[in-house]
Amino acid sequence: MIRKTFKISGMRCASCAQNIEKAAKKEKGIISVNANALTGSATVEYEPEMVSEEKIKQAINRTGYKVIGEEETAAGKNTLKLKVIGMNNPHCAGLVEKALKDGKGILGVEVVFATENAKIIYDPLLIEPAGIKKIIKDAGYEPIDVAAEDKETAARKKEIKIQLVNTIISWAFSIPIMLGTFREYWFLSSIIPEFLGNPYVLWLLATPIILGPGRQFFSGSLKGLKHGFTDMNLLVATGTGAAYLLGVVNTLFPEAGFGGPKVAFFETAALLTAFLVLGRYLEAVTKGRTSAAIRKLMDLKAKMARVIRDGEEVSIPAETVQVGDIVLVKPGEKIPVDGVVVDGYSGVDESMITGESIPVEKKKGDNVIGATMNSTGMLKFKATKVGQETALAQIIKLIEEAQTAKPKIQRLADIVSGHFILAVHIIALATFLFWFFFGYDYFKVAISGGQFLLSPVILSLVSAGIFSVLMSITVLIISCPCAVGLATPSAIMVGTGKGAENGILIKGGDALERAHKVDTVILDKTGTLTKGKPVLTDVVAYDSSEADVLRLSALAEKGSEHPLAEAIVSGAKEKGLKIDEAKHFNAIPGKGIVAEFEKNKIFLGNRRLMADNGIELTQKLLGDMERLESEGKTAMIFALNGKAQGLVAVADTLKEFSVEAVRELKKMGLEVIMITGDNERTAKAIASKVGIERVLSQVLPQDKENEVKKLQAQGKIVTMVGDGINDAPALTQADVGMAIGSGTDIAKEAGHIVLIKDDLRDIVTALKLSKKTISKIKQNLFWAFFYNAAGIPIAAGALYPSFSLLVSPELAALLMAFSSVSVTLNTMLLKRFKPSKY
Amino acid sequence: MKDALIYVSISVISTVLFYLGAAAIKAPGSDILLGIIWVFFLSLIISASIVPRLFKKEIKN
Repeated sequence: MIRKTFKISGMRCASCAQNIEKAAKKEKGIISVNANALTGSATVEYEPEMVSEEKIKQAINRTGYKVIGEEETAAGKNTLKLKVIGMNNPHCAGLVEKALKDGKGILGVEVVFATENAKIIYDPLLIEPAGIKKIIKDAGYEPIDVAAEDKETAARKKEIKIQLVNTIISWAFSIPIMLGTFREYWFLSSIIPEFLGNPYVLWLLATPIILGPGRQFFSGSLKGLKHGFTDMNLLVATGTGAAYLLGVVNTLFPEAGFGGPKVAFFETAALLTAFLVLGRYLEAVTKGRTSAAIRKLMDLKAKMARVIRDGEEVSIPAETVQVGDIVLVKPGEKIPVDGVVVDGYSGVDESMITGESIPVEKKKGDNVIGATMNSTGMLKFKATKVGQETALAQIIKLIEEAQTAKPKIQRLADIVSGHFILAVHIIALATFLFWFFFGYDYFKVAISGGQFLLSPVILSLVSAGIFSVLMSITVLIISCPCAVGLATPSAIMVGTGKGAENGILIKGGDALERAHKVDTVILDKTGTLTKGKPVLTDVVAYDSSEADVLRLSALAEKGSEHPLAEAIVSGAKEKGLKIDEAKHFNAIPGKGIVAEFEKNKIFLGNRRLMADNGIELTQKLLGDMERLESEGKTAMIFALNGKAQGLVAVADTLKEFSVEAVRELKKMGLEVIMITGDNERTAKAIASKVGIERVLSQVLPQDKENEVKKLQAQGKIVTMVGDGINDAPALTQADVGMAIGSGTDIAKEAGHIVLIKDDLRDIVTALKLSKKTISKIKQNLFWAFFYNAAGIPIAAGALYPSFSLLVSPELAALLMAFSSVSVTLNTMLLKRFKPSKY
Repeated sequence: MKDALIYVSISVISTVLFYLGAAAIKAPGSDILLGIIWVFFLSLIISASIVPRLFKKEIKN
């Protein structure tokens, strides 16, 4: 199975996205399709043996939208796009292809000499992008990462430019039409030339609008109808087309009974088009702004890098830096790629990636993140991740994917929109029939002397037929569900972008939806609530010396990477003890270590380990152990050859702001639970320091997932916060899994939300942001449906019997454009979200 | 082709019904003509949207 994301131009609203989904799903071999009008993309999962990528693109293009790019993701095959520099002729392209095809893990290669582009499909388990680039380099050419996003930026700019030109043209012609139509009102006839009121002149001015800026509605409708799709284009095309044609007939046959020269059909058609095209232009501009977070991230990339090659310092394009290169960064320069510091000391401003406002000190051995700013000193570092593997590239990719994944609320809105268009046409027909057969005569429209709002059409001059058609057109125009289509994706786009600014990466609208319903937060202890770097605090010896107890404990723990083991080993080294190597070593998760040294068997662990091996524990030992645990320390029993001889205790410190974060979570009305493998006493001691009442202790790593399940079975919506790699099953099981302190390893993190910084306050920020975003979506949907719910009956004439008020098609177009813009502007308010300070 | 025939047939039926109704109330000829075009067009769009959905439901059942 292959999953591919296609970038598509021309999508306006939810019904466009639905049309694309329907068209693509018709092809055999398609597993799922997820289209998003706001991001202008569609993610398709398909079986390559049954349907080709080309067929999918053709299916999408046939609906009237254009595929402008694609990106393949996951499912055992990745795609890498590169530019290959140095190819002088087509044979070079053949050579590169052959070299790549001979490489292990390469599934497909396409190298085009003319464009210098190479597309490589590969198995990520067998080869990495760095390996692919090495193959190309070994063949004698220079591989560079392609900026795929440039194509999308260009397409967006083009869309904005087209709609701007359309807007200018439509208003340039509409204004004289309006002047000519309203010429006989007030004092205007003295300043507006007579010829402008001539119906043939109005026809001449209206035609370029319909054939130019208005053409997009007709072509979009035709392409949709060919495949049985109805969308907002059809509503608009029907309305403007009907008005224009009525104008033509009325001009050519003024005595035919369509109202004569006084009825301004051309003005209706022109203004309808002008308002709707203006709405499209504003939509295109705001689409660009709502995805500003991604644009901002993309602009962060450094353009040049200073590397040491063959002993010399050379300045090269940042995208040509290779893994392993030694990179130099001077004060005030941007760090070009991810790496590890090999020399130097400096403060680095990482706020653009992690949201951390205070510069972070970097010294030898510390990681640096590409696109961050080196502040004070010179840094020399070894590149570890370049191109699409850098933290920045992973963040951008994650956000882009998140903005394509639809939450349930949006899927519901899409379904409603899809049926809505049909319902609108039925209501429009019913409106026409009502006024034609009954309303016009019953409410005495002909003698009422009123007129449509914002229109020069005088009711007494139009027949029942014309009146009923105009009412029908108004219903069509005012019903456009564009605002409904914008309501959810615009908010998700801004919400996820806001999260990214603060180092919170939300993997999709579903995660947002679940996060706002969370009522229970489970915090892992070690590494989440605590720093995860315990230190040795106590050594107690019985029938032995403290030095021996510590030395042998350190010997047993030397092979372990567990933080507790590191604390014991460091403690022993600090005391100047010599630590030998154990002959055998066996770590038993959740219990301890068993090691062998010079025919002695060492046990170091908890009560369970001792019980499993039949080792008796004295009352004194148990008493000392309880005392240490009540102080919040983790006490391990040391036993040699089956006899308990001592205790070794370590303690971990709470992270900064852990108390504040727990307090805030409780203020939000959430139940906060701590989960740990520690014994109950130690766990409760730590929990009470941080303000947590409920503790799940002595939980083996493999059982954390079950604890989450138990809480979910009680009907709770659970957030689990922990290490994204080690706690992966529990994070995945939770309704919202939050991986904290991921640093640059974003792609490897499990869970639905990734917190880049190691700051517990981000949990609060993430939950508050999700609540704000969902609230914004609900506001938007309310207003969007309200516009339609209120607008349709008014457009159909509901206010006429009591208030003699009628909405003209022009006013309907203005209100419709306003509804889309107001929903987008409401979403923009989400940009003011700031993390709470405490 | 078969689908198009169904849509057009439904639209024609709707239009004929409209004509009969309009003639019964003695509506002016221009209004009747306008109404015929408008009803035909809207009925065509409605039937083109409803019929495929009905067929899909039948296949599912």
